[in-house]
Amino acid sequence: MEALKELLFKMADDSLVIGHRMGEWTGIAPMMEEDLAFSSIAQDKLGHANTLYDMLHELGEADADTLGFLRSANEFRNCQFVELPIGDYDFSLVRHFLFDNAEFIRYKHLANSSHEPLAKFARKVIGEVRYHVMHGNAWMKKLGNSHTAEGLERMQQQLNFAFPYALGVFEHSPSENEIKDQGYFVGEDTVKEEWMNTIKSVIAETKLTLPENAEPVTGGRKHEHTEHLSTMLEEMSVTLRLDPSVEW
Amino acid sequence: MKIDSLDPRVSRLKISADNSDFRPLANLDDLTTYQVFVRLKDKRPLLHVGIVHGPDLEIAFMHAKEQYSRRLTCTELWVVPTAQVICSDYAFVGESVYELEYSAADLDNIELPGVDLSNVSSFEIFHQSKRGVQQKHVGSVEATSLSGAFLKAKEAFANLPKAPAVSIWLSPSNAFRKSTEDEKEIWNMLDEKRYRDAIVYKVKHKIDAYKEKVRSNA
Repeated sequence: MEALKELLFKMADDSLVIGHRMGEWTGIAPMMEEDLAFSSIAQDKLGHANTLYDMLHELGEADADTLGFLRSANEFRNCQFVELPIGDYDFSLVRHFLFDNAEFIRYKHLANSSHEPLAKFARKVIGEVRYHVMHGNAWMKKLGNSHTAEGLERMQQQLNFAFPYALGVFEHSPSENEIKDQGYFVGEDTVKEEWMNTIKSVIAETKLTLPENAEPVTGGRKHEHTEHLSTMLEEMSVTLRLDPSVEW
Repeated sequence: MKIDSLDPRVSRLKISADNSDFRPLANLDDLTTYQVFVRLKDKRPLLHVGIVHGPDLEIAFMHAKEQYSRRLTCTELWVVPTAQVICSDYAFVGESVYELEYSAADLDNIELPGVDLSNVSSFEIFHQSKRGVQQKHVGSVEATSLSGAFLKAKEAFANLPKAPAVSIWLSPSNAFRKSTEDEKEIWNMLDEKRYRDAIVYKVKHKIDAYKEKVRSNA
């Protein structure tokens, strides 16, 4: 049971944090159509977090709002990658591309999870995640083939910066073996291997190169976070914390 | 934490609240427009729904998906560069667009930017049944030139049982980004996004209750 909760928590926390980060572009994305698309993807992510927290509630945890808004940063199990500030749009797009390809593979495998509510959920939302990946890949191919030196340089720099964090997505959580043994999930190593193949094949269609010998930035799955997470959580819950008993 | 403004430009982009540090951007020269067609349900025709901007066809498709298929239902999406859609003139009310006299030479002199006609083997045909309504996809015809496509369309579609078309659009089939059978699943969750529709927010009973309260206090 603890292993299952661990899996659900890391996925829910990833979705909530990336959803909030992507939502920070609402109103200020570089073009209106992109504003709408990025915001919709953010909304999907928040919806996924909500469903996963509901699943945890069914297993005896607090309700979704409490889990999402009222825990402190050191209780979160998201990878550090998702909590980094949005930066310029180049970074946000590179993160979207790297992170969502991992999500897509994760959900494809989760469709066979032994925890039936999770399997059902994965089968239901796979189409949403598919669109997220189509969107991320399309931009990566476009900007990764930029006609200007500045454009290419910026994308390459963001890829170099983001890649070690992206490898941290696959950090094992303490119960990794049990998660696999119980059939909840195929495990991070399998996802990482398939993810590398996908990322390589998309990058091969651009003028960019993947950094070599990158060391994963880990810690998130063990509750270790950058200072950015607590700042974000504070902003996210500022209204609710004024009076948590208010009915919305 | 202090929130200076609810305008995201002020709080997130750190722009002064009086907009004094706004500067006009240089003109962008790399964006163009694309026409979008949506099939709401299987067996219904594709309908023209509007325009999106994009830096290329693939990204225009991604934008169109969120802009034009975020409500109701959708099973198929087509996107085509605006410059590659050829629009006829309007026929008078009650007359058919196919009675307009176009010479083959005039049609074949029309420029289709970015199209290599040697790669074109068919055209998609759209009809407008009267002014002001959406263009509707009626089918495709095999042709390698615009004049050939117009002739073939006349043979195939001039005598449809519906009222005569008042205008038609023609566009090379291979100019479109069409969603694939495989990609249909991107719309699977649309049914659960009803919160995007104003109609699901039922407030009339609250307004009625409030009016009743005001009335009984009067």
